[in-house]
Amino acid sequence: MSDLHLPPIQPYHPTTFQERGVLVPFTTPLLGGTRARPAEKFGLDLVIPNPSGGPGVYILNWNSIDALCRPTIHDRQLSERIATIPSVAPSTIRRVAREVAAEGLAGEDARQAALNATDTDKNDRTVTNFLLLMRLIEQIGLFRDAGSGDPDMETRARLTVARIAPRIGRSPDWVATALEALGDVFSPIGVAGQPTQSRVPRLIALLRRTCADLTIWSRLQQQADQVAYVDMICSVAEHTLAIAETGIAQTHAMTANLPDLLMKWARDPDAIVRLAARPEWLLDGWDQICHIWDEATDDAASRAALIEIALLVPVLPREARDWADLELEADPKARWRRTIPLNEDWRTGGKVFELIARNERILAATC
Amino acid sequence: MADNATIQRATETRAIRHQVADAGDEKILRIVALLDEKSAPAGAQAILDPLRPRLAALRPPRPLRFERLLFMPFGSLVVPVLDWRPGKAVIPRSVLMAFGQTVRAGLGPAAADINRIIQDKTTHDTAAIMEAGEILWPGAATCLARTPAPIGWAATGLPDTVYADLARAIASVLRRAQDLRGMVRDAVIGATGPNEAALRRLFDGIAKESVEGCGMLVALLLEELPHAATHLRMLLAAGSGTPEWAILRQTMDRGVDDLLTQMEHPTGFDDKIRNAPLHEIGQEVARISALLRDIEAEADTAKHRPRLHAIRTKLDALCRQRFDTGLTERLVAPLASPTRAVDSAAQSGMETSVRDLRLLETAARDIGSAGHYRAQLEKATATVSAAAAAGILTPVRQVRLVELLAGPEAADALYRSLRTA
Repeated sequence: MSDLHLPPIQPYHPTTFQERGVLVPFTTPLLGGTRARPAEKFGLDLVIPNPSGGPGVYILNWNSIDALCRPTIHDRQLSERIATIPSVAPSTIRRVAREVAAEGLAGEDARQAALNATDTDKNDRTVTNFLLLMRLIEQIGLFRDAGSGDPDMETRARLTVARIAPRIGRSPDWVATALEALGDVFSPIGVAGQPTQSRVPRLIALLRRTCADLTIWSRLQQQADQVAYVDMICSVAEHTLAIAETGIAQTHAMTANLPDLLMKWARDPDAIVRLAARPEWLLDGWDQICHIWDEATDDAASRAALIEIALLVPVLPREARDWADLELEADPKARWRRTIPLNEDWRTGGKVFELIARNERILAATC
Repeated sequence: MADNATIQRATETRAIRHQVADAGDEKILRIVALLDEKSAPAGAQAILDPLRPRLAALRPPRPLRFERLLFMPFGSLVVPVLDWRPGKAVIPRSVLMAFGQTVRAGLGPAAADINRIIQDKTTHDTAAIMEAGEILWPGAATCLARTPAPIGWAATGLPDTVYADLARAIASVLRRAQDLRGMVRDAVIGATGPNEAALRRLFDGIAKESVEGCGMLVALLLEELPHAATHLRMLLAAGSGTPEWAILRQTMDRGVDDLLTQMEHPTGFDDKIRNAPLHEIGQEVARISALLRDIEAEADTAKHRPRLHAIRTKLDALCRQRFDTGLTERLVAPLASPTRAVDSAAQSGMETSVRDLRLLETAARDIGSAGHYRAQLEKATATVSAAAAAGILTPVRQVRLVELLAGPEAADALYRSLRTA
């Protein structure tokens, strides 16, 4: 990374998730771990991990990417399009990233993965919508004594919506639209008892598996540093998972009384959107970490991946503690004051081509 | 006197050796697979001996046998028996089986554990190699340091007096095999800096090792680790005056000399650069280039300068040749005479090849011919544009290939022009 015109390294102790920013899936090696967040006045900030492996980050104006390094064509387009979005959230960054990947700018696999992911999300939404509707029919109980298939599902749904609408003080059309909107909001985390896993539960399972792999691997390590890295990574991951699972449980609990949920939706939909989005904010950045670990195929590659991951572990903002009904100690990453011994030349020279290819594979896996 | 059957077998082996000497890569790989399947080490050795340099370049997966695993840490230090002399820091191939049997007997039940791990595995199964190596290498080092009575030594064709010195030298390397292997992989990945603690551990107690063992260790470091010479110099500077210092100084001088002699030889790196899989060449050239630079950086390098110059010239020519061939075969020819439009698999294949070629070119520019590579890449970019104009490539696939060949700025300009067109 050129050190011309670079601002000083700044401490990085975000108190909110907005301040932490959202990971942007750049493929340029020097931009690994970069986050986007709203700037103080207008536009966006780039939050770039200290490339020397020390604590702190570079915080730069969004348009400074070109001055920092030679971004790939994918990253140029991604940063241009992100600059135009009105709000930064994991879901919006993912949508833009998919659009760029679907064009093929990060390679054939990422293109296909982006197209598949859009289909998968669509299916998740359909399943969640259906389950919410089924739950509403069940909770209202108009057809408790009816035989199966009589009347058909469409009629049951229509009659149930018509029954509940006056209780909420809205029209049946409004209720139907609200149920669809709730399906969109809930689809990333799914609803309790959903037969197939939605994206967030899939990611939770992936992160649990990665932590288990890391722990097994670290038991075979003799160097205290490596064991300490694994401890720190798994500790932050466990905190994150605990809060994310609490968030999912809280959100799922709302569907136990759908008429009540619809009334809340009528009063303050943003509050429900915010609550349902918490697990995504919490887990933002962890899927890349899991796939960096998966890319390592032998012990030396695992050691290198571990160092890279230690640099990328998302800091848990203080806001996370307000989200959980759990007794949590302070963020273990915040106590981490070590310099991670990363070779600064690693992401330049001939290695760039290999690393871009790897980052494109990770992008395909995380679409 | 040999019986008729033996003479017949020897004649057949000679005939096969002649046939395979000129065989193409694919044929060689088929022969190796066939011989490995037959599991007839003695006959196979005679047939494979002339092909060893090409096999080293092609690196086909071979069954992970006990002896093969035992000698993995020695890399190119295993040589035909005719290239071996007492005191030379190399191992004659004919002793591998005897040492394997001796170690196997010395390890006792642990040998069975190793066999269980390596069963049905190949030389490409890194995890199995590491797992079994962790048991085998230190165990074998302890065993051979005691120089137990050898098993099957008569078949090596070498005098009994040679055994003890070789056993001790092999033990010196095996004792450090895991550290050495870890350092080499760290260097290949490049994410972490040099592990000085591991390097120090490598030379801990070196004064107690035999001269041959020391020589093998230095030769392996110089050959496998791009910046080994620098590290060794650092160690020398730190330990001036100690017994280790004298031994290291002497073995390093000899190691550098041997390595230069090896690189000057037509089989030095020529086969590897010409025949190794494309994805390995860039790394290999970067390693040789770093090594040459480090040797040049030595204070008393003047004596090596003419030799280094000749080696660089040879390496430069080989790199250009491999780059040009690779670019033509993997990109220019398929685009210039396509049978149909480039599909997803073909595009991914071309991108991988161009990436490997850029890795080679980035390393080769350090040796020379920067202008040649620039011109070749420009020509290839023109071919890509022509293919896109002919409808062979979609606009985005063209952009991707231009990015790899000419850089992201050129790709960005093209992308914008295509969007506004």
